[in-house]
Amino acid sequence: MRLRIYRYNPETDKKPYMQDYQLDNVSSDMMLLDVLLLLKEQDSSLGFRRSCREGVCGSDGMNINGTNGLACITPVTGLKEPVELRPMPRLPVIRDLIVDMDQFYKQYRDVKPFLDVKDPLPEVELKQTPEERDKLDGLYECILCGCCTTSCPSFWWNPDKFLGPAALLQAARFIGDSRDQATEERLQALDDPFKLFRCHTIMNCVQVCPKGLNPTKAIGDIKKAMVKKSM
Amino acid sequence: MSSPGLQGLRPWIIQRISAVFIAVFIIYIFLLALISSPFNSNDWAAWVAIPYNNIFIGLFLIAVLWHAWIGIRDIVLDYIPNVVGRLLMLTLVGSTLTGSGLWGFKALFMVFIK
Repeated sequence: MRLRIYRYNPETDKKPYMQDYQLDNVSSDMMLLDVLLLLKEQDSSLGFRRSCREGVCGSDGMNINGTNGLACITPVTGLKEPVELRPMPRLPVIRDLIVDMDQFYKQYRDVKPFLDVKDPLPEVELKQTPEERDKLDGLYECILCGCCTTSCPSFWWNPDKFLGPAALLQAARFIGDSRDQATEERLQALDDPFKLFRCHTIMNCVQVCPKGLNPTKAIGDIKKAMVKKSM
Repeated sequence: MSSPGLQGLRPWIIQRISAVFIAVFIIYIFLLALISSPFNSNDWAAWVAIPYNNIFIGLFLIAVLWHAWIGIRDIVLDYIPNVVGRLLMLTLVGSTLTGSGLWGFKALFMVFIK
């Protein structure tokens, strides 16, 4: 298998470059992460993140042949060669395929991704009906890999102001939660030209989400909730 | 609000409502021209001079100006990262649209003078 991988070590390299690799012991049932681990034995200087190796932790998000995805759940069969691997776009590169996720996590914190309950908390859990709980399906499963946000052109254009699909999916998750009592404040905070309304329904986020989630629909639901509130 | 003077929801709603109005009005004008043909410039002038039509053309003009302003504002916010550049471009666009609007309303008013 032939690979072309983005290499950059800010301590030793003046600028990034693409390095070609050839691996012979690749079998068709492997995932891309398996190939990278083999490659790591050949070249220990190659840097990439990985942890759970089964699409749960979201550590190994990268740009694979031009499309963001998780290396651990991307089968090598069907990948066009040379497989071109780059770090996720528009985030600072720490080294090779490892990006600095600070901006991404800041956006996540900005939407206050936790229940805000004004009433005194009950001694038992905050209950929901099955129907209320169903509304959270498709929202809570996000693993914060960053594939969606870094594939979004609106994020590329305004990375410091537009919250991005991942954070907005989380905003929708708490706006839609029957137990949360800060819906109005959450909607008010998003009524700004940049945070939410830079989304132009490009839908790259939907295309790349490794969990099959739909941030575009979640953003649409936030807009609907805003319209409803304003009427 | 993190950006004083610029809003999120209101322009988004205005953009959609104006789009619907523009689309309906264009279809109406197109059908009118189709049904009433041949339709020469004197016929148009007479049609525009009917107060009811004149008001609707005025509303159409306002809808087009709002729609254009919000659309271009969105493009500027997306593609011009520099604040001074944004301000200059928005001033230029705002002035052009205001000028076009005044010119359009003058034309609507002139129909009555003729």
